[in-house]
Amino acid sequence: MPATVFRQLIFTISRWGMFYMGTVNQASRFLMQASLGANRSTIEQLADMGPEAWLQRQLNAKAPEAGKFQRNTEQIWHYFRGELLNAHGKSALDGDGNNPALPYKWYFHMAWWQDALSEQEHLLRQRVAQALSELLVISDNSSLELDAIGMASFYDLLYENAFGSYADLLYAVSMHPCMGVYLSHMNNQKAVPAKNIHPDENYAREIMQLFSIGLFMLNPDGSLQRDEQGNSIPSYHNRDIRELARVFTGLTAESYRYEWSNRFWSSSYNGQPVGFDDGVESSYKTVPFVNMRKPMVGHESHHDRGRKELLDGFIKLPGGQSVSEEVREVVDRLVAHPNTAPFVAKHLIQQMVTSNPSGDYIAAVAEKFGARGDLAATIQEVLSYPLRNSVNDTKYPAQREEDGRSLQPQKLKSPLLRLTQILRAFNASNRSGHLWLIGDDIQEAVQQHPLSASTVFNFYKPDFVPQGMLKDIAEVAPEFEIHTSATSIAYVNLMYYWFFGKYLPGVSTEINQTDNIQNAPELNPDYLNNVEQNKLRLDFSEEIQIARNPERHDELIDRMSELLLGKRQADIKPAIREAFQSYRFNPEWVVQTIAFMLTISPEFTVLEV
Amino acid sequence: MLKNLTRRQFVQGSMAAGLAATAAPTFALPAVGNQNPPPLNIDQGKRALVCIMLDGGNDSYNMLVPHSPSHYREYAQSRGNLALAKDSLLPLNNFRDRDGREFALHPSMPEVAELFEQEKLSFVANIAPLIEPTSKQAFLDRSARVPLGLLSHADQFKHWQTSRPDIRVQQGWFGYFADAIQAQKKADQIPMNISLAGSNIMQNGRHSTHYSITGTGSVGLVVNEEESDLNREILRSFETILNTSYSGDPFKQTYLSITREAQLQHRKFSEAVEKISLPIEFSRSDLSQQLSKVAQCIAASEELGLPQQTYFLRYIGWDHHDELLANQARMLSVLSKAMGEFQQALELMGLSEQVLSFTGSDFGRTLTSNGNGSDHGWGGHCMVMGDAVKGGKVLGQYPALSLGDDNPLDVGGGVLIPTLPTDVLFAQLSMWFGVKEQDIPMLFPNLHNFSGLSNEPWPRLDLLKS
Repeated sequence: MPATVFRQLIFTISRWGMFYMGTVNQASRFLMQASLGANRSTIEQLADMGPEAWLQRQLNAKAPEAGKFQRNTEQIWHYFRGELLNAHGKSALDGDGNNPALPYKWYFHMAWWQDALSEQEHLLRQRVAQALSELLVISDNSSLELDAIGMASFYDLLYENAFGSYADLLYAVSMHPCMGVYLSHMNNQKAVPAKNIHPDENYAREIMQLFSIGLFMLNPDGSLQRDEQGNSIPSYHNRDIRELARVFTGLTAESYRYEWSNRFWSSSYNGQPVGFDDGVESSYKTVPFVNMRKPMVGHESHHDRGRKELLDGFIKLPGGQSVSEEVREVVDRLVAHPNTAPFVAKHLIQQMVTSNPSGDYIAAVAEKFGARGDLAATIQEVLSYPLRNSVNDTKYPAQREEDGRSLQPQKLKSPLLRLTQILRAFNASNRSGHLWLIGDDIQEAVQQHPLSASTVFNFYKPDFVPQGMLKDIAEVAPEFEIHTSATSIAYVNLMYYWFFGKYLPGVSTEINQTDNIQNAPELNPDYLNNVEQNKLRLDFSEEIQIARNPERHDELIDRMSELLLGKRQADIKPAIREAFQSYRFNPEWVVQTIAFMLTISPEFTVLEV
Repeated sequence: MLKNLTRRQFVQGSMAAGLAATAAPTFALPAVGNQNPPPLNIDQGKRALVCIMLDGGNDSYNMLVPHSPSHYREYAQSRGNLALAKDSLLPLNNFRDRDGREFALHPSMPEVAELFEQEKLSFVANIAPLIEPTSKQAFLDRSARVPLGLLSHADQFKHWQTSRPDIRVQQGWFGYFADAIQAQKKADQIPMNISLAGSNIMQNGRHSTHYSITGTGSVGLVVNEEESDLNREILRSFETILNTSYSGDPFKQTYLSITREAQLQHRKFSEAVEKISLPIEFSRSDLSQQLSKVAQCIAASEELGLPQQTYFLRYIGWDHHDELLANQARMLSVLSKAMGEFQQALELMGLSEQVLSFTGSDFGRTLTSNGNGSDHGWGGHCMVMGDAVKGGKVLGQYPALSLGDDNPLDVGGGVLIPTLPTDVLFAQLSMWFGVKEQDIPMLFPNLHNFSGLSNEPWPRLDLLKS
């Protein structure tokens, strides 16, 4: 081979190698935005095909069969019921007391984690559903904890409409019994002036404030409109809420449904329609005595059928329509309101990419959202805009260059997303194949778990500003609201337990071992930790293989940095190298130390884009 | 070399490193929208303020109910199916307001009723964040300046913490205390503002922040618990990361400084607090457990080096649009029990003179029913408890509970305009805490809008002994 050709070839390979390295880092960071976490092979696949093509493929993939979370939750619940029956006989399922056989919240947690850790195809859909769950909030921190299957069917709405129309999604959410219970428009009825009874205003308020138009009039770029005095302009007034509350009247659960027979409940009630005046006490017209999976149904005799007008005539309902017709029309109008596109755009951007999006970025995404709320186009823009443009107008001194692209820190990853990223990066699995994480241990430590916010305002508010440098430069950072002196150390402890201690998140497939059964699944971490087949394990086999050779330790740090940080050369690399010097011939400890130090470092917890 | 150090020396050594690393970062971008801090003068003294926020909007018209016959009738008529039966209520004897109104408490609050009788607790009626005195006419024709985001949880909950309903700020009055008292705070010193509810605005100052603990105490590193070579190395690795500098990176610096200070403060905190034993056993409710921790902290104030402290607690779940009667009864019972236990413990520990506790809530609720609950309102009632309180009173003006044109405060559906701004209560609590009277208007700049209501620069409540 002539020398020139040889040199050319070497040059090409090294160029390609550098390029490839750059794209692997980029792919890794991209997947931190677009998925719940990715292992090496997913990252390499994306690096090969490029983010745009990956996005297309994800958005166009055939949707999974409908009702996945409900089905899985139900199966898990049935499994535990079966175990109870085997162990304690039918008396464990029937009885007047606090029945352990209710579909309690854990079964949805289990189904959620099974999906979060094992799904390999619909990664974007999975991530968008999670992001939407922090916008259209319901929570098992309420009576909904008694119906995991209802909650799962609500999550199915988010999952199945993730690339659909926001208007369709918001309609389905508004009619879902879980939202009806959580924001109390289920069993709400038209005014009875003689008794000073007015319609419940809860949902009317929150559908505007939190799910669509927000509190203040917005420009298309998400900035606040101002009046002549420079004040922000409210998007609605209390009279609008009162007017809208009249729409959400006359809705009940579809039918009665309770899971066992006892002194006060006969199985013959199940399947009977719920009526306002059917003689059943009102406390039985809600969870856990009604069907929480089927959409709520309207009762026109209790629906206010008068004409309604709100938002200065932006919404006008002629009257004489059914509750479902009116809800549909209201939702369509709210989604078409000029505020909703920038409002939802900003939420999704803050969830996935940056806490402080530029006006141009919000406007670009809002334009794709359009008047119907095209979520596929919206998500595509949320994730592809950053490939072409900078996303935040404020430049931090820490900005850096990579392959001619500027990068800077954009947001604190929420603790939940940190944990899913780690578990997915190292292919968390167990022998039984039942990845039924209880979730309580995670929630206790980091104050976050899907569908479990403390209020409808989510785990953190979009305008939260922590003390310190971010406050000085007037940037928001929502996720810092749950990064406190308590949770910051609790997170480090969690990483210590995961990588050095014996404890990964608890997985339960066994029924409660104590005599006094309060709940069906065993929840005691010490017990669970001794059930070998369920114990969660992280797959460090390749890493340990590399760690056996101390000369490859630098390479190992780089490799794990690429996976976890989206950056080959971590600033803390010298510190990591130093950390395991005294036990560098113990390959397991070396790998554990690298994982521990990377995951607690701010280079991991802060997302760079 | 490291191996020769004891763990204690090691931790102290790393604390010193931590201090060095918290030196101010070198870059600065222009600060936007920050108010200048009020240069407060605060007298020193042993004082603790405990704020219990009832998150969601307590329906306080069913907590403190008018009991004299004509007033009860008015109550029962407006509240319809939400009205509590008269004979179920706990009458509060020996007090009658200037309209001759007598009062009773929700049946699930016997402990609070007893505290009222013992004159250790008073109510403040129809109070809420307010910018200026607001008449119904001025409200309806929109000539009055009213709080931003009226009737919405997020804003009203915030306004209770800032008492600045005219603007949206990220600082609260407890935070300003700390800016003055702990102006020179070192990183390992524990903040005087202690939260059992995580992040909040009330305890944020311009520079100061809160210290977050849980009902079981502060959270420390588990690596510290067990001595082993590996654990020592891991701890060292952790400290190294804490002390890495990411100057010019506001996200990473903020992440690290919160984590670093938590690590520095935990040991000191837990050593001082955990050895304090409590004279009574508190109930198992989260609120009781949190208040038991507060009692321990107050008892440890000397060792913590915190003669003055504030506490922020948040009892969530009062948004009773639905199933009001059952849910509020359950939660008021938890609240009443917890307050009774807290006061009792403080008395037995000899601390009750130096503690004032008060409740707040997003807003009162509509007098009218939505069938099964009530909706967002505005004015409501709160409680103030402690030995320093002139107890057994209902202060402020308890409103008429009639509806519509009959009631000069009803702006629709029984949403009542408050007649007392939170500023007035907070000013009094602040002065008790040590803030000089002349500095109060800096802390609560809207107070002067209410000067017309009394002969003083701002209205006073007859709330505290001397």
